[in-house]
Amino acid sequence: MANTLIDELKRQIADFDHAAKKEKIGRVMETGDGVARLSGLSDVASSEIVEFESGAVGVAQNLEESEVGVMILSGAESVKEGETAKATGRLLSVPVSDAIVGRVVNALGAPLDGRGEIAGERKLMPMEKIAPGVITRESVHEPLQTGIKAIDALIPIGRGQRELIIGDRQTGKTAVAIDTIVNQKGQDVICIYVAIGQKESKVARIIGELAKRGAMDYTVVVSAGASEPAALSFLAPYAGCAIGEYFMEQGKDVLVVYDDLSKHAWAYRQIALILRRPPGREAYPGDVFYVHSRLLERSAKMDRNHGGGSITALPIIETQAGDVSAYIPTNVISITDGQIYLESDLFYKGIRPALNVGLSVSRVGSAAQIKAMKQVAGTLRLDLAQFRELEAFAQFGSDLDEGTKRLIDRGRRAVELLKQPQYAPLVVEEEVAVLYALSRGHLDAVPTEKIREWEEEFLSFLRAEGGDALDAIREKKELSEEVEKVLKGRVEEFNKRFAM
Amino acid sequence: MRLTASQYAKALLALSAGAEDPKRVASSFLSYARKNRLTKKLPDILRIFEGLSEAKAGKLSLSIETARSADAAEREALGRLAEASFPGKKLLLRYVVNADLVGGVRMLSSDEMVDATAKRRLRELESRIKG
Ligand SMILES: Nc1ncnc2c1ncn2[C@@H]1O[C@H](COP(=O)(O)OP(=O)(O)OP(=O)(O)O)[C@@H](O)[C@H]1O
Ligand SMILES: [Mg+2]
Repeated sequence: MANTLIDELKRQIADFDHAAKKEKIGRVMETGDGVARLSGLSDVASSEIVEFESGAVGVAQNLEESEVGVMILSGAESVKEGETAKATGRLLSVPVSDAIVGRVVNALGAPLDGRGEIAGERKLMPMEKIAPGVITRESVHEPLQTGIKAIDALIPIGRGQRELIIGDRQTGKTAVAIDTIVNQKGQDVICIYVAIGQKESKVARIIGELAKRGAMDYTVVVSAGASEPAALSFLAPYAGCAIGEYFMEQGKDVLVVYDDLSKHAWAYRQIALILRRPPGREAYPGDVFYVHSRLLERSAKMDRNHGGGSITALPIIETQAGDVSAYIPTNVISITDGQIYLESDLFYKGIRPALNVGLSVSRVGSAAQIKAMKQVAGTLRLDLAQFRELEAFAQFGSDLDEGTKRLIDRGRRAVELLKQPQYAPLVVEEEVAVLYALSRGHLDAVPTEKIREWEEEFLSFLRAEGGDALDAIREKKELSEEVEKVLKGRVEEFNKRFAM
Repeated sequence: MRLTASQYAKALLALSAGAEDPKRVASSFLSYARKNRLTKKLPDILRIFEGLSEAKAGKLSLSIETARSADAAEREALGRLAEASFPGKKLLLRYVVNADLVGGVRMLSSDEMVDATAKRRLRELESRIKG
């Protein structure tokens, strides 16, 4: 036996020099909960793939001088203390082809919908990427219509913008994002919905709703479920963004929804705690701000020389008891271009979408609004602002002078008209038409409780008989004298028929 | 301000360098660690300290793993191979049997490895077949 061993060794030694070279390794010091701490591997890069001796695969996370934290992506059960691990030189990436549209994938880009591999020639898109520089960017100037009247009128979003949707639990945050996706039908926008740490049943329901409305024809869903390792929740938004970049590089417009970044921050906190990183504010690791800004910085509107594509981001944040001054909300507010603030009180009062108009802003989107919308939105904003101030007095109804009463009545009607059910997005010319009627006083005679009925019937009337008014707004994009004449005629014609 | 294990290890190395009585350095460091609740970090600190002080002395701990136990002649051959692979270091060799390797040999320091095992080749073959 010794002889055979010697022979074997001799043979091995003969190849030894050229076959086996010295490589850097790390050793597992500690492992558990899908994470491992490794000693060594001093020159591994952040987000580089690490292979364990046992066959498990992970991704390097936090890097310190003498140790590396690794999130284990597969084979976590087999990782043992003391085993070796090697850096692969490959950065974590998602394989993407055009055929990913319509599919449901996990945080690594692997299909979850049981429909087999993603077809076509796949390109590896890195999960971590430096955001495009200012030189290749262009300012936001094309609208991204949500189909939600209140938002398109008052908090308009432009392609390439980052607009935060923020509110307590169950205030309709997801609904705003999903309606926006549904409204992109026929708009040549690729949508990516990233579900982070949500219950699998909830995600399945959302996919069902999207499919029912034909929205899966242009949508990719990236899902990291609540029951899966925190590492996948952490990676999911980067995967969604990388998929978006694949399409942006082709010059396409992309919408990415991150639902939600609060759960993303929790996943990061959990991983950091296991990796024993010193906790900072609210026990989040100190670089959680950087983690979110790095992600959202990748949303952009590229200039013509760089293909002209865009990534619009709608990150979602869940607040506790409306507290927007907590650590994660303040961070994300500061790295977005505005926020859509949804409020429980309004939601329970039946004002849905539960948009707090006073606290919501869009810092760049108005440049992208069509002129006709600007013309009706200006008065709407004023009506609502005056209404908010006067609302308190409204309780003493009888003592009010006529002028004040009229303002309050107008405000009430505006609030009523801005209500909108789920899955009923409007095209922009329809939004303009109904807001026009409000702003020019055509609804003053309609009782408040009949406003929604009025809207519904008015829209059916326009679609059936008033196509000329809708066409005129769509084509001219502004309420010129002649467009206004057609529209006014249609409103008056309808009002004569409508049973007040 | 919390320091990393490697910062503590470096401090310990600096302390022990000029120390006449290593025992005193050790016990004062341990009591400092206990007071500052570093006990959890101690294994990491010691591991890094060991590596640092070896490196300082030009030494390197190396384990040589083979699938079956090697006799004296084989060990000598392996030792020469190790010196060729990790030149310029005074090697502290340890021979380990690891049946998992199937055949061949690998040499591991705390952060480097030379791997000429059958297991590795099989794995490479496997990944080449899988594509
Ligand atoms: N505009 C709307 N009109 C009527 N119902 C709505 C509207 N928007 C949302 N809802 C309903 O309100 C509930 C909560 O909505 P949604 O799930 O979008 O809220 P969320 O803030 O995302 O909740 P969570 O905190 O659980 O993620 C759902 O049942 C949804 O159908
Ligand atoms: Mg939700």
